[in-house]
Amino acid sequence: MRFLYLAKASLLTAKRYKIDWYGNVLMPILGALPVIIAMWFGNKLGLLNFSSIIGTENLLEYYVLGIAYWNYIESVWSSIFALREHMRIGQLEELILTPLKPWEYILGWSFLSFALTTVSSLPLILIALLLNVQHLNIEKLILAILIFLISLIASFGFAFLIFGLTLVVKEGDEIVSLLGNAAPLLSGLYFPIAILPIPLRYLAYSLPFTWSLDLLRALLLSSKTILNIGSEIKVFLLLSFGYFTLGTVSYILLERKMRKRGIHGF
Amino acid sequence: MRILAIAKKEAKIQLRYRIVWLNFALTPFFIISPWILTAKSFSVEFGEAVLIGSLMWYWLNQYFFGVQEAFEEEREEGTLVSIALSPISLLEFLTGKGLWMLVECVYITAVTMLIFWMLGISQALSLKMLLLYVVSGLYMFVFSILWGALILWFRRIGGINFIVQEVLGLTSGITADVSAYPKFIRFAAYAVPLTYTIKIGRMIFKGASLGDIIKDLGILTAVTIIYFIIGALMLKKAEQKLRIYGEWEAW
Repeated sequence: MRFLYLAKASLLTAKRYKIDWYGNVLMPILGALPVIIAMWFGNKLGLLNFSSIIGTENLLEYYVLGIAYWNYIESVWSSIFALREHMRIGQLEELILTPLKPWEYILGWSFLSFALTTVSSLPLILIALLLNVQHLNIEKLILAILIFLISLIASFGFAFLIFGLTLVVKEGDEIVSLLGNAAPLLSGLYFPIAILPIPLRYLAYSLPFTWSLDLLRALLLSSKTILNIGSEIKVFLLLSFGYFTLGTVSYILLERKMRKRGIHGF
Repeated sequence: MRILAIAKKEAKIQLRYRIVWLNFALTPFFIISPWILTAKSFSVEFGEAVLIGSLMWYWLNQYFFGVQEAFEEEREEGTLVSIALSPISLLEFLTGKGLWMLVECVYITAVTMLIFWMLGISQALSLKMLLLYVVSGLYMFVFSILWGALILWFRRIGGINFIVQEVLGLTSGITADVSAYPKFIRFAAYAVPLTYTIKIGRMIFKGASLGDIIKDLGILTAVTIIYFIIGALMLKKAEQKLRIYGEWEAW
């Protein structure tokens, strides 16, 4: 439970700078707004009914679920920004000398972001579920929760990998920024990946979040899926645990390498 | 020459960090392509219009972050007070940073255009359009001085930088035509310089002549100058305040 001390420190700092909260909470919603406005404008011009592309008439719920889900996935990655900040202010060596394990850093630093996401996203999720209560049953709900939790494990795998890379190449915040901007598009946050150009579609298939998001929407909104649900679950499990293993192993190797070479903060 | 020295210093620091350049090359594509791909699903012409708008918005995005970091990073590292003691005004300091950002933005725009071209997405990618994006970017830099002044004045306002950019972008019609917006949003839209650069960019893409755009160009210039004057005055005022209260390093 040592990670809770880090979480408490983050909370106290965040309380000091309240304006940052608004930025963090609203950013994902604002990120999707240009797409929603484009659809509104396109429909206003009478060009096309976009629901045929995304596979459901429930446009609002489609986006709400995607945004809420993505907020959680990115919460885990926010720990990299904390690591980078400690490097910048010259505290990395002290951190490495503490008895905390890397997963405790990731958990401790992402705890606040997780809590904020829950506060900001829970009403959105509840609205989306209530609007689609006719599609829901208890089995689907349990399966959706399991998929969500497993995709968090995959997110941890990415965080471990970037954490290790940050120790070596320093610019971990840039990697997270790139990944954080690329993954929502590639994972189908805005529309099904079938709309993407073919080279990007293959990249999308390699991300666990593509499959988890597709499965969550299919289970909760009855939208179209890329493959059949059974096959998607298999691919999703394989990728999630594959990335988690890759992330943890790479972190161990990278940290060992940097301890031998000597860790420099910045 | 002092402005050039700042730009050179920025260049040397930025060239030291390689992944930043990879991020510059790919992130804009990933941010704006959902907008463009969605619009293109409706019609090719709509996709082109959104590409022009979003590339212009990205210049605003870069300049807003750039002027913010110009002050925030120096303050965080404890060197802002050294800048205050140097014989250079804060406006010159921001202009020096802006000069380097121009290079960054040209790189970002050119690479983004190249990626869209490789994916066969758009026609709005000629050299003429690149020049247009650069000119619109210069207006965005002048506009961003006001944001720089606000950062110096209110310190933690950077936390809502992205929100401000998104609101400005949406209001200016990056993924729609502002003439379709409700009246009160249109009223706000015409107070934002980005609205005019996007409008002019789309008009030129469709083959408009200088005569067709002269009115909008005049309004754009006038509106931008007004923001610049307010920004420069606020910057001066914020500097005086910091000197009086000794808050250069207060965070």
